[in-house]
Amino acid sequence: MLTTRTKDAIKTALAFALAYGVALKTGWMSPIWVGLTVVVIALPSAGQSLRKGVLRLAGTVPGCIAALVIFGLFPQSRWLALALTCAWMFFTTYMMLSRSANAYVWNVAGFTCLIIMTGGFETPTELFERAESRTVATVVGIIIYTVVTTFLWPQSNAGAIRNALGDLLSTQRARFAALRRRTTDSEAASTIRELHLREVQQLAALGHALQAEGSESHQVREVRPELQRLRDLSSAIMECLDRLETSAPTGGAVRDILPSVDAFLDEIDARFSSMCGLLRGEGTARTQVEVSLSLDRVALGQRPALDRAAVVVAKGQLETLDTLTAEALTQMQDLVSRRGASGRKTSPARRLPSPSFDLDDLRGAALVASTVFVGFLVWVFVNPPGHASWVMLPGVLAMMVAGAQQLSAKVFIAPTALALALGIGIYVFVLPRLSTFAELAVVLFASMFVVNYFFKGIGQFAGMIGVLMGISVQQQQAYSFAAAANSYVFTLSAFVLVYVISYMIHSPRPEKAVLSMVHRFFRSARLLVANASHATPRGTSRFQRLKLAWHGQQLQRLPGKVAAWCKAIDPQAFPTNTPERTEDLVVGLQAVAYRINELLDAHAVLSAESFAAQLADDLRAWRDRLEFALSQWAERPDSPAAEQLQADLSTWRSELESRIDATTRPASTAKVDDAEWKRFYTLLAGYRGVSAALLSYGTSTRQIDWPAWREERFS
Amino acid sequence: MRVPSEVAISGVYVPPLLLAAIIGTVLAVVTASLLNRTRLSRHFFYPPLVFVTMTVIYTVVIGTFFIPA
Repeated sequence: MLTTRTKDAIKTALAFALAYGVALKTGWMSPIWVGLTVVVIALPSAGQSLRKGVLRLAGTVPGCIAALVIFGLFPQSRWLALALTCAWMFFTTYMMLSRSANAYVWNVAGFTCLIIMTGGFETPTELFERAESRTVATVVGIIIYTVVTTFLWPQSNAGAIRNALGDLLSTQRARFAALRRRTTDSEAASTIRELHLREVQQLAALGHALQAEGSESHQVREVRPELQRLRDLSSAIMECLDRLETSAPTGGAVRDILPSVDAFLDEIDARFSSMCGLLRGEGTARTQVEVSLSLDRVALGQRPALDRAAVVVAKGQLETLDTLTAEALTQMQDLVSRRGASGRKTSPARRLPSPSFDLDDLRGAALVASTVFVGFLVWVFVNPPGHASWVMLPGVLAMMVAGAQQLSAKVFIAPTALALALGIGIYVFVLPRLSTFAELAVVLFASMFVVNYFFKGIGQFAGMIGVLMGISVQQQQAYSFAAAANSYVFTLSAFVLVYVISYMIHSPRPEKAVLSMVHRFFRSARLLVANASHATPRGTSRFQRLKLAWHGQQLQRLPGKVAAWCKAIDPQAFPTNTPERTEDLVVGLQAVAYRINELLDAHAVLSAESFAAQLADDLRAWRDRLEFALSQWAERPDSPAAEQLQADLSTWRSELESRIDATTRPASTAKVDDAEWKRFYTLLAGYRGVSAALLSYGTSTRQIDWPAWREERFS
Repeated sequence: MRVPSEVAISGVYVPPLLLAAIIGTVLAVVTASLLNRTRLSRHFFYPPLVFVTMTVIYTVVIGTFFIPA
């Protein structure tokens, strides 16, 4: 019985050999293109491959057009043509990095332009033929691989969405249950963390399943908007659970103030259970119960002002969870009974405010554009082996590096070097002895099978490209060891060039990236807290609003990026900074980001006559303390800012509590509407939340050995 | 007058500088790894430049004394 790995390797190798057969039989310009398409779209299931193939085609056409336009505009002016090519590469790379849904389209649009431009043509007609040939080769490659994967051990994604959604909901339910019992269960905290990590992975898996199953099933395509909505709701539920995890007060006080909290939470748990049941096909009969959280004002009044605020905010978050789970359940019932979308709609996630440009994406785009530029200079002024390919290959590799910045260069270089050596070995010692296509097909099949079987992940892809380039089958085959050796040296030199340029733009060392991002995070956080009272559009210039929006966006994105970079840090090089500690860092940053967002939201709805306006000086003083801590961390992440903040707040808190009471007591007897109280408490909770999150961050990251990360070392 | 020579590997003639460069790069990688392990790398201002320099020095030394052209 063959394993899945063997079957996948056989399918790719067979399609590869067939692709060369078709290309050589029809006499196309470059058979390598058909083989390349097969290699690139070789994914386990037909749906995934077909989707990637379609994306490849969608990128090939604009890439070819861009090359024709650039050449058409500046046929005699190489510097202008270069400038325009660099601009195109910058644009496509930026789009590739910032538009994850269509990233591959932009990737192909970028490198196809380079391939067409540097193909060594003498007339415009040749250029056009080259573009046309590339497009046709892409289509044929897609068809060949799709046919092979459809008829040979077909793998379907049927049921992938149901399974992925079921797993995700079960995890969310377990996490919700762990959050409920965390006051009584000492092990709940570690369980919550594990479940959170699993939840993130399962949410990504659901996204992949939606794409994969949607590519091969008409029924799935029909309900794609509803399924997408369910995914968005699951994502919003995850964020809501994150917020509850890092902010909700615990203990019996909550039950005193919110007496119906247990029934409320039971109903939410029942909804999770119903959704899991629906996915298992266990009926749709359950009707939702409308639940509400009543507030015991007497019990609330007995708590200190800041605790009152925390409870009011937690109540709001629980109500958001209620809304989200209710809509998710309705949506799922509709899907199961095929009634189509209905029910109330909420906006689950905060939309990112404009402007949406991102520093890291811009940096990636700059890496590609500068690599193309330097490659061109190398070609024109040095002209080493590789010649015009110095523009193309480093550009393509730079796009790959920009798309996977956290991956070490070794991951690409080692398999490429090994597979290229294998390919050149075959080219030098085996190919000259062959006389028929049948013999060539066996060699092509065997070499591709070996690379597919023994390499994994990105190494597998790099290895396949290495074999493809090493074997180098042409329409008119001629053998030259010098050409093969030059090609080997050139390929590895292209990697070195990309590596050197990436170092010039930004250190590719993951720990340096983490330090830089932590610095950026706290700088943005400080700026946002400093301008928290300007969160409303009134009284701020357009530039100021754009600036704040950009920093807000940084705050949302950076914790995720830090998490990705932390995973890339070599634990052996930094044994003191264990993965658990770096995880604490990410959780701490995420909590700070959530709390600052809540603070900004709270400020945005305040009126000039509110209690907050009467306590403006106190709030300003509180902000100053927070700002000071944030600026300390922005300068040095190991600064003892948390201790200082703790000392400041503990001496000041009782003073503040009494001032808040003095301000709010006359109002408590007067007729003040509930919304006004809620806004005021939300604001107080915002400040309290940011302070608590910063103190928690300071405590949890105390163990991190920051100086070790700052030290210079060879990467 | 010295006659330029090449190194024959299984009948394939390879320029000596290529061999010297390969060995030089390998030695630079080993040295960098040792410097990392002993934390001596922290004394360098910019390790990537040091790595390139080490590669060049090793290549020149090997190309001059051990595998001359």
